[in-house]
Amino acid sequence: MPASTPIYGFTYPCPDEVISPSAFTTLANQIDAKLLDVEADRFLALNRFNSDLDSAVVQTVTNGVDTTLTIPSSTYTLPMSGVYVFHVTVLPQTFPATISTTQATVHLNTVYQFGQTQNNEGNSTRNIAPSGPITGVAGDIITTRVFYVGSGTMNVRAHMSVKMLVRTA
Amino acid sequence: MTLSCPEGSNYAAIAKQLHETAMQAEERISELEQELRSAVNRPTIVQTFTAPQTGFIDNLESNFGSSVGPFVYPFNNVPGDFTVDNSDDTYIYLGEGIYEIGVSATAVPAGVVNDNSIRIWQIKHYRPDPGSLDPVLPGFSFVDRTASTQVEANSVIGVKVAMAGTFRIMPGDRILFTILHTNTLSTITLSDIKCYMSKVSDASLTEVL
Amino acid sequence: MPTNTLNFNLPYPSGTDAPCDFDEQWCDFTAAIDSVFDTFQAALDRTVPVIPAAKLRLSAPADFVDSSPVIFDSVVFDTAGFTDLDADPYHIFINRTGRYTVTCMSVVITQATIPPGFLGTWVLVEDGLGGGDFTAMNQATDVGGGLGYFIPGYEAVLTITAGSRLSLVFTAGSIVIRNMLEAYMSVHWHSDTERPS
Repeated sequence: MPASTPIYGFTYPCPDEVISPSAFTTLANQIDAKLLDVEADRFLALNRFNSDLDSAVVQTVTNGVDTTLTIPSSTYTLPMSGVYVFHVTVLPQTFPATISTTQATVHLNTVYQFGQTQNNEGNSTRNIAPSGPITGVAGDIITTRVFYVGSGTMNVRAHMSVKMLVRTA
Repeated sequence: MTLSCPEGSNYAAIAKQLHETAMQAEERISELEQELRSAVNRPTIVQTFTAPQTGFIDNLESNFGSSVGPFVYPFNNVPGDFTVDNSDDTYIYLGEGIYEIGVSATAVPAGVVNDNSIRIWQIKHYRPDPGSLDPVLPGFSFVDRTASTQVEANSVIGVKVAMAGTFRIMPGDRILFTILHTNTLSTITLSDIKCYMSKVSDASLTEVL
Repeated sequence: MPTNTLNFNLPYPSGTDAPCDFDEQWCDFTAAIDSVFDTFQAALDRTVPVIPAAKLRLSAPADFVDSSPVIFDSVVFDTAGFTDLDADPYHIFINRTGRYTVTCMSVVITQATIPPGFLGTWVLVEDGLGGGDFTAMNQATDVGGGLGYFIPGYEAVLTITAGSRLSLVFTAGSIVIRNMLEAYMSVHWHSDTERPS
């Protein structure tokens, strides 16, 4: 009866066994398969998930309405469970007649995570650029919301950069 | 001379060799697997604070975070109850290195709002210095910081900050989160406080290209 | 004739091989495994315990020209030979292509002659081939007053190619000489390639 190693169960013949070529085949393929698993770890160590998303597509936000952005560079789906750091920049492209403050917030499946406000004294728009950590599972969706106090509407575009810090699964 | 090699009847030698190879391969694979996994599991702490922190007086740089209120760990892979801020032990345990540290929070005046009053948020890095009379942390000297100045717009939503920086920290150093505001008409309440720390690298070695 | 495994082409004895060839064939097998181990170890050597990282800091006030690189006076850390403060106190030089985190901060007193005014900071990445990128951008509103304006910038990740140089830039809207109270710029490696999913 073959024996096997304690961790991965690589099988090897015992001294009293008849050895056939299958003993070599089995052990070689077992090691090969396990190396493939570790190769995935090697690749992840050098290439943790990360992305930076930029788009010229704009979205219109109405004053006083906390608006979830749907433009391409404002959302991200976690590919693997882990701790990530997100950085979002909301860039106003048009200028409301009056604007006193703007807020950009980042959400995990609609739950608030962190955000940033800007003072728009003098009715001057400003980029808003919050960054922070999010712990989530694969499939969680990260979104950006924009809110401003002022008049009319404002077109914005977004930039998002994300990096995985830690793998948790 | 002929080299010995396993013959048809010398089954034991081949079996022994396969056994050795299997065990040695497993040992080395296991070692590499664990080390590669640790490369994507750098020491990281995320804290969220479970209650607002209140009563911050104007024109006085004041600590917030772990020194003030309770928190939970959405994530923590560092054994023990170490905190990102207000702890000498954290960086003694984790050792010298390069750390990425961030904090986010919301500040709302508890009462009347001073329009265009200032909020200065800081992640401050201090080093033990027994002779120091630093007003924020006596016995420590200021080393470095990441900070953000924001201006209250008196628009009900208050002021939110979410920032991060990198620091070279030595064992015994301390990180503090502070706020200084100029809302003279009332104190400030902080909520939605969250912070994180991740050890990016050792600092004293040279990397392999 | 040895057979090879599917994934890593490890050669191992097959049924048609003579038992006397086992030694050599098995040595070939273990050597092939060792070679795979070497690639795994090489990845570890590049990621643990140290990665490419550098931070420059300005600790004492210094003048600079609006929209031009800010000068630094100290190296906080440099694990990869990215800096040479004596030769160039303005830049971090990248010598390994990859995906990097960039952070920065500018600190000034009020710059607005008539508040409110605009304050902006970013890190300029010049790729050495005539191209460039702005990253870690942040802006603030200057409402005057006696307290300093701290403007931090952060970018979680972007591609920086070997041969690039980074500089910190600040503007308050007009090209004049200004005084920077304090500043820093830092960069550290995160990964080799972009990998969104």
